[in-house]
Amino acid sequence: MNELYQSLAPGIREELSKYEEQAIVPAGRKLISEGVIPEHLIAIERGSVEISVSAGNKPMSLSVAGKGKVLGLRSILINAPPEVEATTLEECAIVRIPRDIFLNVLEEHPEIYFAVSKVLGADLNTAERFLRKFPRAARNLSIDSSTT
Amino acid sequence: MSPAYDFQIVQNCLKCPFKEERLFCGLPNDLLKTLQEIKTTAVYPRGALLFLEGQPSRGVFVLCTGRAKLSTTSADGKTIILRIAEPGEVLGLTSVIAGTPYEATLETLEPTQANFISQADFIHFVDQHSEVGMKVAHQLTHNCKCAYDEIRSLGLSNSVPEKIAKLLLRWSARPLAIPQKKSSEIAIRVTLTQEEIAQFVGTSRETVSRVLGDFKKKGWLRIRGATWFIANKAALEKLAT
Repeated sequence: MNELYQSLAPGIREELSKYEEQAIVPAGRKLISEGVIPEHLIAIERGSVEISVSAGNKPMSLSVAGKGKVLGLRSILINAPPEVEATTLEECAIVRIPRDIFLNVLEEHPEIYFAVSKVLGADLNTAERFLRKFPRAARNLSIDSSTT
Repeated sequence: MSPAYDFQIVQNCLKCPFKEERLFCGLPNDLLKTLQEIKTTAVYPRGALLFLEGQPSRGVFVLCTGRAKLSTTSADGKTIILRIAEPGEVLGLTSVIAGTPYEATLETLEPTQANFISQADFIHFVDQHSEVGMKVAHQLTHNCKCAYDEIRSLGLSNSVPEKIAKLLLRWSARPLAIPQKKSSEIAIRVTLTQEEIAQFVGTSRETVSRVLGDFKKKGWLRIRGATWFIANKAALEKLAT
């Protein structure tokens, strides 16, 4: 069961699962692209994805996620492009729920927001753990750069 | 007798003058009434620790007035400031929702009013009222964005001067309206010490001091106690890009 469904009542889970589309995605494919609002809410059924934030041309790998991870939730919720990218590291089995359908179900069942908050909280923790573990050497930036 | 703090303590959320403009507090009156029943209000001096990293979560704090820093300890034992929390933010959210220990330490940067809601009351409040759940989700999307921006900024910044310039520019988005400033200047209130700025950008206090001294020498910045005057925003922007 994916991380969103874990906190949902069985009735809502059932309703959402009616709209699920299954897909197999090859390795190296972007499931979530930075700057592009996703068309679907995605959950990983099998395989692994790398979640990264790009800083200029340099991708910074935040985490590797596997079965149960939900992708695109934040972006769909606020209708804004995502700050992260998710790229398949191997062939992945995914389920997708079209964005508009998910938003309709959310509107009908706003109690879903509690489960949504749990997923967003987990994403925030991942980002903050990355910040905590970011090597001091990299944070301890050079000071010889000119300020003129 | 003069008040101990230079702000009005708001005991009643229903009468809070800021409730509409704050992400979490802009709730309908019936929900604000419930919030009023489950929260306790307290005022803290600068330097008060509201929760500690690793401590079992016991509830959330809603910052009403004042700012606080969220910090953590890096793998090599150094303090890193994750971000500065502003009035209206709900703090301790992720830990309380997940039922896990606090992930960071929350310390006030100035005299602060905060409302505390216990874990059980907060979970019940969110669970029973979808509108509150919606507010919480939106607060978390905002927090995620801040964290991703910070990560991006770490990856993009090449030098301490650049990081400090970015920090000053971020603060300049909330300028102070004070008479002492020259018309071309932007006045900001800085409650972080140089040591804390160092913890924010990941360097030493001595380096922060040196960089600020350099900015002052170039005429980009004036410092008068906790009030700083950005005299050349364009130069800071050029450095930061």
